[in-house]
Amino acid sequence: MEAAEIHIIERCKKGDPNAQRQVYTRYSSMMFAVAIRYTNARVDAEDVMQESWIKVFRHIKSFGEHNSFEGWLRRIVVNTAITHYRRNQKHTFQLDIDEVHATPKDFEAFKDLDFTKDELAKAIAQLPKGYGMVFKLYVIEGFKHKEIAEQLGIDLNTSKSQLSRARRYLQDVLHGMSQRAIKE
Amino acid sequence: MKNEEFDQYIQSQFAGESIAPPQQIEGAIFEAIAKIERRKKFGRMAAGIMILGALAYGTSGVFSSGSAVHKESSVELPANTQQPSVDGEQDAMSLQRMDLQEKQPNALEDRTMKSPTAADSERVPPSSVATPKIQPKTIEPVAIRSAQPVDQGAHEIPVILQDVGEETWVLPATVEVKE
Repeated sequence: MEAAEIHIIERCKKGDPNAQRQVYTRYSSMMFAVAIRYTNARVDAEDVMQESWIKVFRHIKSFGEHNSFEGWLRRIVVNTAITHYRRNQKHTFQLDIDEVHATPKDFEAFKDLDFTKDELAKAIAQLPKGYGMVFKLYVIEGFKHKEIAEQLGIDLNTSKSQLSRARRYLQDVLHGMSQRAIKE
Repeated sequence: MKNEEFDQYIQSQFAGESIAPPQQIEGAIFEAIAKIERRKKFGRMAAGIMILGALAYGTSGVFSSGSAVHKESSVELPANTQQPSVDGEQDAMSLQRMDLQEKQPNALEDRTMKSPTAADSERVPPSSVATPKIQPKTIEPVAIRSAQPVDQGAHEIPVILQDVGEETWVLPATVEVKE
């Protein structure tokens, strides 16, 4: 970590509002991108964002200088998004994962394809909720299955099987997108 | 493409992703943080006040109990003041005194001439000994008797008082100390 960043964090620990604003300006875009990734609606992302920043400034004293500050922030927003997801899960209809028929395809087919980030984001957003959450936590955030199982309150094997199904489902979606692109 | 490669490809696409949040979020976040801070400060202040209050109450309790003891031992009560006391013995003593003064003005002098025993000195409160300026005619004994609640321990006293007319020595062999 840079000395300047350490200094700002130290000021935040003392409750300096100017330092808090500086940290917010520096990391809010990253935080919001993560929040959007784990929520379906922008409004939900804003809720997660707000909740996450409040947690950041309330618990910043517990942050150790030897860790990555960005990693710490990312972890907070992901955890907040998971809490939000689990909270909403109780009130929304959940698609039974067994009803989704993924069509396995060989990833070789995508070897030379170059999807943009937006296309990938759209494809991931089409994943059923359970699949999508496990896939994003494992692939993008680098969580282990054990952590995912704990965070989502699911079985370890469920996490593994959902990841496997998510990959196949995503493969199918991407294949469909590439087919449409070729036709056009 | 293997799973790991596919995962890495996806991960690389999202690394360093940033989306600018709406402007109004910033205001809402810092307003919420300020509110929390205010609440914290208020909580700390309230806790401090409560602690100070508790300390003040505790210390005043200690001092007041100490001063009460001090008063009891040193302050001489005015002789003609009727104490709102529940101590029946003391009330009875004052009644005795008034009767004595009414009927035999020298009774007190006689009493002071006698050397008091240790038991007597325990039973007689200091306020009742020094009573030089009592105006006996201003208070009617009958009215006082009916107004003052007399405890069981002091119940025998009026009987003794009735006999007092013939004797000068009245004090307190039969008076029991109420605990």
